[in-house]
Amino acid sequence: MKVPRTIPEGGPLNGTSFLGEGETMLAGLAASFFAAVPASPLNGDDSFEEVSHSAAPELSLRYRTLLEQIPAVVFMARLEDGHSEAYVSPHIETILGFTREEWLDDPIRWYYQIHPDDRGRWNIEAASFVLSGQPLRSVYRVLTRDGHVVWFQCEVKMVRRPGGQPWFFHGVGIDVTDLKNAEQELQRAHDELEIRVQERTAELSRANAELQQRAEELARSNADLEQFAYSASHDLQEPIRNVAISAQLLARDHSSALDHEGQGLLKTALNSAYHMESLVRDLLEYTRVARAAEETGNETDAHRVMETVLQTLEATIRDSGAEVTCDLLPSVLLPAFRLQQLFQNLVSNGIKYRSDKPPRIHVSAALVDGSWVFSVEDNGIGIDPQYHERIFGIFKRLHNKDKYPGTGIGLAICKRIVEHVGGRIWVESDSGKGARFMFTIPNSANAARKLIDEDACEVAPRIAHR
Amino acid sequence: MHTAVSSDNARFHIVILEDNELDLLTIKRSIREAGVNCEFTAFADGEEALAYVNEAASRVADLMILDLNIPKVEGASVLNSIRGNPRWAHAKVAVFTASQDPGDIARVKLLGADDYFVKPMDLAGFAKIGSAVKDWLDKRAPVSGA
Repeated sequence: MKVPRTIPEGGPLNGTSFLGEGETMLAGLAASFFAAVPASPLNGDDSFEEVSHSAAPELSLRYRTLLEQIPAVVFMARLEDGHSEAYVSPHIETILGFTREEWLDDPIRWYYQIHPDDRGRWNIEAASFVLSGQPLRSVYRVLTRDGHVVWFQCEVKMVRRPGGQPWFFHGVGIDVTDLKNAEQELQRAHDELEIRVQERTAELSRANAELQQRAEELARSNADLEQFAYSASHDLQEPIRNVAISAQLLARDHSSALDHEGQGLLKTALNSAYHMESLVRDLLEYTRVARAAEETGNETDAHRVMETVLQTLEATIRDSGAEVTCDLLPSVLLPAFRLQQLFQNLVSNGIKYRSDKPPRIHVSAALVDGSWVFSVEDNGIGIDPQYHERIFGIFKRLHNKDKYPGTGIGLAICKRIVEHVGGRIWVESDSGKGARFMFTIPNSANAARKLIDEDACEVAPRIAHR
Repeated sequence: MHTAVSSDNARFHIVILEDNELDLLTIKRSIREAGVNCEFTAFADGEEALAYVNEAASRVADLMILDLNIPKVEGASVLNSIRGNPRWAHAKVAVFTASQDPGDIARVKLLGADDYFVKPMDLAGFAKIGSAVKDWLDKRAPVSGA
């Protein structure tokens, strides 16, 4: 069915006061076109020009040229004629592959060229457009002659008669296929990226879970090992004590039954039992540092602990002629008996490993990067740098037991205590030049405040052994 | 095991819970050598000791010496039962153990132990425990009838 192309007269739009300024212009533009459209089907540009006989042909020609240069489909249609197209610009051919004749000859072709999936939406939006008269702005997929999809961004506007009833509409369809494709490509890339990110995240969390599991296994096996060492050393104590006590009872009550050699052997057995006992006791102590869920909530005044250590080591200090001095020390988050173990081990090492000179030991502390760094410095025989790591190992000794007695676990215990609270311990020393043992204890804000208190200053003079 | 060692005119009753025979022998000797006039009752596991403490006719101890690490029922449980038994309210309890763990010491003090002896490595250490027992018993009259 062909819709008759009735061309409205240019007159009715002149001086229309009900339209806005822009709309008046558009209406005028439309009117001039309609004036140029022949009653019979258009036969291309030439016929269009030939039949144009509007009141202002130059204007019409100028607008037409301008319009037809726009790389988009410009269209107009009479509403009275059942939405049939009255005009379509020649780019319909470059964009959709249909000549304008083909397009205009079949008044409902445009509808079937709308992508089936978008028709429903078009129906709704077009109805709303006709009823409200509000401009229609939407994007539809339109099929070309050869079936390709072209994305059209449409802007359609209604022009009304002076009485207010819809007269015709005009609009423009811009081919935004490239834009849409780019947009889709971008979306695809984005989705792909999203998927990859999700995959990576999943991989990472898998790896993380695996790592966590391994850490747990390690912690468990570590705990088992600690438990084993603890139980073993605990259970070893009894037989060792039995050997020692039996040997002593034998020596005390039955020595007459033994000759000189027998008594010597008994003494060796006893000494071995004592040595074994101290090894086991130290091993127990070593495992206990990590086993104990010790309270670290309380602060310990390092200065008072140092006083206790000096009292405990009083005889050793006196006998060796040592001089132990101490700066003002802070309060730290470490149980008192642990701090005592640290100081006692380091100070007694300083005395034990002395040179020919009388031992001089100095204890001090400084706040560095939020941790208290304690220093125990001596003037003893020093330690060759190649052994600086090894001395902190369990049962590692650098010297003959006869010259420097001990089990070789003291520094290992110190290392455990310090590391248990997140600190570290090391030594700065050279052979023959004394040693300086340093350890850190992470600081608490309160502890720092306490050092400045007069309370701490009051303790200081009591320690001055200098 | 239920061993009662009588001595003439025994004034005090000491109950010992100890599974190590050498320790039992040595601590009894040390207490005797310190000059304590007493009678011993010994148990080698916690179950026997618990039964004795809870038996209405048992002879209450002036002093109970108990090892923490013993078979069947732990020493700490026995200590707990003694402290919950009015008949035994006046018995002094001393823990005798190899553990030097400050946690163990604090725990048994909390359970009501009066004293804590770490098992010594030498006879001098045993002698010290013997004198400590004598000093303490000298200050009180026996609570138990012979």
